[in-house]
Amino acid sequence: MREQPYEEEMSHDPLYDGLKPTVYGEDCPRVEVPDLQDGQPHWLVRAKTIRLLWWAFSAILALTVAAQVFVDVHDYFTVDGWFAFYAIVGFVSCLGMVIFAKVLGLFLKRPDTYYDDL
Amino acid sequence: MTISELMFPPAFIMIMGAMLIPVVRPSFRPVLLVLVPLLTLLMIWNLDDGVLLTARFLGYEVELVEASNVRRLFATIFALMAMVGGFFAFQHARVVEMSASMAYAAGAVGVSFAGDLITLFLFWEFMALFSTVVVWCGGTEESRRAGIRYGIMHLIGGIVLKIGIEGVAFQTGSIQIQPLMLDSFATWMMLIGVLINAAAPPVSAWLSDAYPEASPTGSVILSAFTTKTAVLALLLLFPGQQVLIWVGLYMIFYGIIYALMENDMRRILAYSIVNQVGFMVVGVGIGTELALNGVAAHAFAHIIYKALLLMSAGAVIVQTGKRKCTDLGGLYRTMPVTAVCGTIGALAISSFPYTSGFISKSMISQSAAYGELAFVWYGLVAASAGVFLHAGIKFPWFVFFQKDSGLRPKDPSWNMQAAMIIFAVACVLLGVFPQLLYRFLPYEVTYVPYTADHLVTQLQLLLFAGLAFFVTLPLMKRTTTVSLDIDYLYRKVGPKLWNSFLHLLVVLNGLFQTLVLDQAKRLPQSWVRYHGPDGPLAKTWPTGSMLLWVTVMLAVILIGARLL
Repeated sequence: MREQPYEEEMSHDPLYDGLKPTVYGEDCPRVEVPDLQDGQPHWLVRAKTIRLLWWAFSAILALTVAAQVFVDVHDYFTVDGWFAFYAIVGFVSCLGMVIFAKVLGLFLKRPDTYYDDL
Repeated sequence: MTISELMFPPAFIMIMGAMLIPVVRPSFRPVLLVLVPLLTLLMIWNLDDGVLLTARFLGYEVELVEASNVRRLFATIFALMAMVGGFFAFQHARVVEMSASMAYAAGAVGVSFAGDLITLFLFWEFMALFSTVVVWCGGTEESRRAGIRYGIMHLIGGIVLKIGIEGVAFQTGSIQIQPLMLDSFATWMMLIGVLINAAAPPVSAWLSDAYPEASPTGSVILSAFTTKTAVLALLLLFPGQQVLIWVGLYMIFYGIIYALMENDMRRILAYSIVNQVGFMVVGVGIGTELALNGVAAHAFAHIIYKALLLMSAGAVIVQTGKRKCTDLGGLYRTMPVTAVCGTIGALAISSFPYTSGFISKSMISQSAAYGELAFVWYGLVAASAGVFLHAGIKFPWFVFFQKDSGLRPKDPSWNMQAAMIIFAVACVLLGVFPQLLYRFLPYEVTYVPYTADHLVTQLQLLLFAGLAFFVTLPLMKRTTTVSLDIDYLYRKVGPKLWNSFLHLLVVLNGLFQTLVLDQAKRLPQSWVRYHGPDGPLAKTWPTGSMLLWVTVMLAVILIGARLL
């Protein structure tokens, strides 16, 4: 509906002059081949490190559950005293939320230019 | 400080500061940005409890300053936020933005100490005004539009609140700020007016619509004040109102689900503001001493870690110019300070042990357990896992880690780094030494956050939520999309209906033209055609035609007489 571009239309407005959009990151350095640094992948993203991280993570997960053998968990609603209750709730409810968001997204997601044409 | 010594509300210091910022020389601005909130803090901490400053306004005795420990706590974090936020911003923000941010913070401090509903309303609108300016300072076409929508939403909220305040003043004759019963139209209107500012349903969309369109520094400021003053107002006016529990629970899950669908990193954080404010609203709804303590503590902790998260997002935008998760990733290589600070903020929002969220949010869920609200409690526990999912891992993962985007930006300017480090340290400090915060809460704290079972259960919950994140990573592949929300109604349907209405007017106008106006025009034309100078009825002289008619009449009479 606008006849002339926003910039042009507003260029006479003294207030707007102080509000011109700032362009950020124009000189942001970029590498052509991602993932590589000095010819090889960063140590954090090497397959070996990632495998190690998964092992460490699994061990910690197991530890937090095993700790419940030694720590008496106070229960308020019976079920929350069950063994590994919080682990199951954490995993299952997150799984549920991710799937729910995925399904809802099928109905609610629009291209991010959706509101641009108004 | 005694009553006679108090000449003006603490907010006035910051209002003066806001007016000074544009006129002082640029090199002095950062000094002002830090000094003014510091002076305000000094004044805040010298206020005794009770009503300290009154004035007559519209025939009412208004209480410009009333201090209590919870008001002081909120004012403190608002002033602190103005200081660190201003320091973060001063190299990149426009002068208008710096000044408007200071005025906006002044409004929040003013609301914190407002002793009556009229003062509250005045500062409330003051905030609406200057926060809109901060949104506009984004400087883009999108931020101009978002600012207009934001302004309209808050003016509507203000009107609703004002209707409520006037109703209460009329019915009870009192404009005191005190716990109200939801037993009349007026108190309901007040509740709705306050809830609009808290981004409660159905209008939660204003927040994620406006905040991400502000400048990288502006959205840091915006995240702190409006929703948290609404939380304070709820805490003072509607503690223990059951309806708030359900409103809050909806906000919690709304925030998580929408954040999971979102691609814009600042919008993810905006949705998580709604989520976090939801926890506070639930706490106000539960309304026990433990719950209200939890609300105050969580508001304090939340402002710090949410600002920290938005600072790290702002730093990324300033350095890369990118804001979508699909364009970002792998930035930890060259932005270590930002990545570490952002991750600390993400851990704090997830209530990880030894961060500020752990000692504040758990008070709210604990109060649900003590109140034997099983459903609410389960909702809060599941949501705590969900927070780790949508903000705790998703934000740092997609911005700083995941696949390498090839971008190699440096860490931002020194002041931005310093502001982030200050807040990151604050997150950890409050988490390790909870007494720093607990001693300033409204009620005495007997709650002990660090017990073996709390640590074990919280770690189980969060780490298995983390496992769920990495297991479902393929499902979370980012899409360049926005998600429809209630703002669809006023951004798409509304304009469409308006256009249809305009088209209808055009059609009706055409019909009116052909059916009425053209006919009306044709009528005199037909007169002219038959009776005008060239009309068939004007061809002969009137005397001639009269003679003819006289003859005809004579003949008729003669024949008639003869026949009779």
